[in-house]
Amino acid sequence: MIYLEESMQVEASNLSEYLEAIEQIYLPAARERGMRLLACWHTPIDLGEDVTVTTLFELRDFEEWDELRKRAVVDPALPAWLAARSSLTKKGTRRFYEPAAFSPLR
Amino acid sequence: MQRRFEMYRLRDDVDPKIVHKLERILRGCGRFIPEVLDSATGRSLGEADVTLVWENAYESAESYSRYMRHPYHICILDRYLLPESPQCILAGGEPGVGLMGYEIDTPLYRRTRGIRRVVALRVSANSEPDQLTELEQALTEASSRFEELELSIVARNSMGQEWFPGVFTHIWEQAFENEEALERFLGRDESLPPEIEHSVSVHYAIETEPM
Repeated sequence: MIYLEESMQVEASNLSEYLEAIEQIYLPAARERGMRLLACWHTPIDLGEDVTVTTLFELRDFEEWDELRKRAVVDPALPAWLAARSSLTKKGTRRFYEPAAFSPLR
Repeated sequence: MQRRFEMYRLRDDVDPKIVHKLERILRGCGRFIPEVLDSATGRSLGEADVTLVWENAYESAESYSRYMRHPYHICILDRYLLPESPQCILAGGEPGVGLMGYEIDTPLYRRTRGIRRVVALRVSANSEPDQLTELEQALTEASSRFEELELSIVARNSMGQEWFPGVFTHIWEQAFENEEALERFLGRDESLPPEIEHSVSVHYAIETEPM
């Protein structure tokens, strides 16, 4: 397995709306394309700083991602998600990970 | 071989350092993905709604497929170029020219300096096969009629059709020694054949990465 992790910085006041957008706009289309969500977390809200929202997906390998990426490019639902993410977040990153030999999640 | 052009429109607010970094990444791509051949970039110098062009080539469709699923492509190139990536630097909206490519037996296109001009053509769907052949031949032979035109390759566009079918049916790839030579060529009173319904041209100074 490999893992796709996306972490976005969100103003605390936008957190609930952003989580709702993930759940209602992003995930239904992503699941339809074959994406498998493992986790969605956020940092505590009352720290006096932006909240980081992290989503984690599992993928068989880069070949599978190539297929999922092709589906995403032509997915008519994607623009609505990108618009929502852009309006509700400040910045973010997306990285792919391979498990270490001792990782419980492999 | 598969010759390929990606034409990007970048957001105006992108830090120039990020654009330079992306250019270096694209030009040096073959060091990480050996299937990527003849990588060069160029900033668009003309009127087309394009900021940056990445030209390259692949030995075969299989080589291209390996490039598509290579971790360096997915993790590094897509970081800047895939709209789904939070760090994507492409401008939104319509892709303009986007992705184009054609098949060729040998790398006649190969240049490491000078000016490249790529003309995306949409030839009428009503054109007869004979008309198409004549058109392709006439444009290909243009380099024998105009001394400033160092290279003239015309071929059917074989890429991007799954996303933008029929938008551009052909590519006319050209090369010039410098901008003055290009200006001389453009100054000639030559019009495109009537079978061509629409065309967009992009030109740029070819930049390669020192190996």
